[in-house]
Amino acid sequence: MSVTFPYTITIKFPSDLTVIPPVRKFISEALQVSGFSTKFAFRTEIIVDAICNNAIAYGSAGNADSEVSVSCEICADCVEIAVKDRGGSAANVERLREAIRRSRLESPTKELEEDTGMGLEIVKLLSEAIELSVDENNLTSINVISRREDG
Amino acid sequence: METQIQITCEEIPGKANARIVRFTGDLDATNVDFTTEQIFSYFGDGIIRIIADFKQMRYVNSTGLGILLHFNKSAKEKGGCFKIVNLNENVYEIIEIIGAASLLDIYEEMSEALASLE
Amino acid sequence: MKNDNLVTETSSDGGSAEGAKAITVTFPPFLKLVPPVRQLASRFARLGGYSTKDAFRIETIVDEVCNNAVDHGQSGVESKVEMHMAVDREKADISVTNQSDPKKVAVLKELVGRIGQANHVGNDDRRGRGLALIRMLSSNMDVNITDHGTSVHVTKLREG
Repeated sequence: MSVTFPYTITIKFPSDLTVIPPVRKFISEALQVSGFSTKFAFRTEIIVDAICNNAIAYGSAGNADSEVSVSCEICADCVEIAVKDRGGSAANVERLREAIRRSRLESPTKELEEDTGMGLEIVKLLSEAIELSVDENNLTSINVISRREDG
Repeated sequence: METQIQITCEEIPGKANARIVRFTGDLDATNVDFTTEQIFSYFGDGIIRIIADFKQMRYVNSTGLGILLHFNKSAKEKGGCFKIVNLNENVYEIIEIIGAASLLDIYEEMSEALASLE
Repeated sequence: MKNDNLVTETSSDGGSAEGAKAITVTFPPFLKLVPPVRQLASRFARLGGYSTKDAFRIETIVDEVCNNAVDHGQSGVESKVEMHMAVDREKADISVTNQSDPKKVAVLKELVGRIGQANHVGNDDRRGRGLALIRMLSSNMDVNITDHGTSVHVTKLREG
């Protein structure tokens, strides 16, 4: 009955913002039954929510047949989340790349002023590493590593 | 960590070897062992008349239903009872569909279940 | 007979996003993961406009099918269970596939064969009611068992 680490769960769902809450709750609950604290599960839920919202809003939104894939590799002491979707324009991908890079260069209040990018800032605050990649089929992938702090 | 279920037990004034046992949460395959241990610990302590209050029980699957039937049978074999009260509509429907409603001791109201204790 | 004043988590997730399509969840055969999977299915059904009652029935179906996949399929972290669920205005289609454990195939076939037996509920077995329950809750159920994999496909018509 016990879980064995590492293990992976994946969820594929339509590019529809309303589906994100059940997806993030599922991941949160999976983490909790695997022994992670509610605090860590909640933070992961925030991360998943933000990344998926970005993926849909700036990637595949408007494409009724598109889908988002969330993959979580759950280890004893960390979680690696990969969110993939297809359809982001080159401009949006570059914008995303710049937003990931920007935290080391500029004040985060820039996002507050522009009312953009807060989700990604929260992800960066809550995680250890974040990486963006786009393959030759225009599949955009954002990988986030979040490390367990409660031991 | 299994699906959360809480089981609390309270005495019934004037009724020897009887308790109200309140269940909270979901009863499924992940916590049937824990639940079985709890109920059988009550049986082992001589508490053979149990009124199971399911008011806060959201969900019961077929595995959970199986142990309820087992508790019912075991209690009767010991000369006691396992009465179920305050089932929600959804859970009751599952019990009814599978044909177990007539096999279990089910009451709508706690007062009825208490009155049925000798 | 029914007490309907329970607060259920799914009620707060309810929406009216008619036109919700399909989700696919893949997970290792750990029993502890089944409750989150069934809750996801319930919430997805609610998003599709299904009533709390229908969503509960769908949750029950997913729970029973996934429990069987975990109990009777290939164990271990390398093995996978896949739950696919598609909803539209008329029905929910649920498919669960998993890798077979050759040592358990015979038991599973026997369980499938027992569905519908008259005294199925009344016996003292604590297990074995799940498939019968799925059959009663759904309009169609197909089970395909081979030495390599097992797939269960269930259709549940929308009632509310």
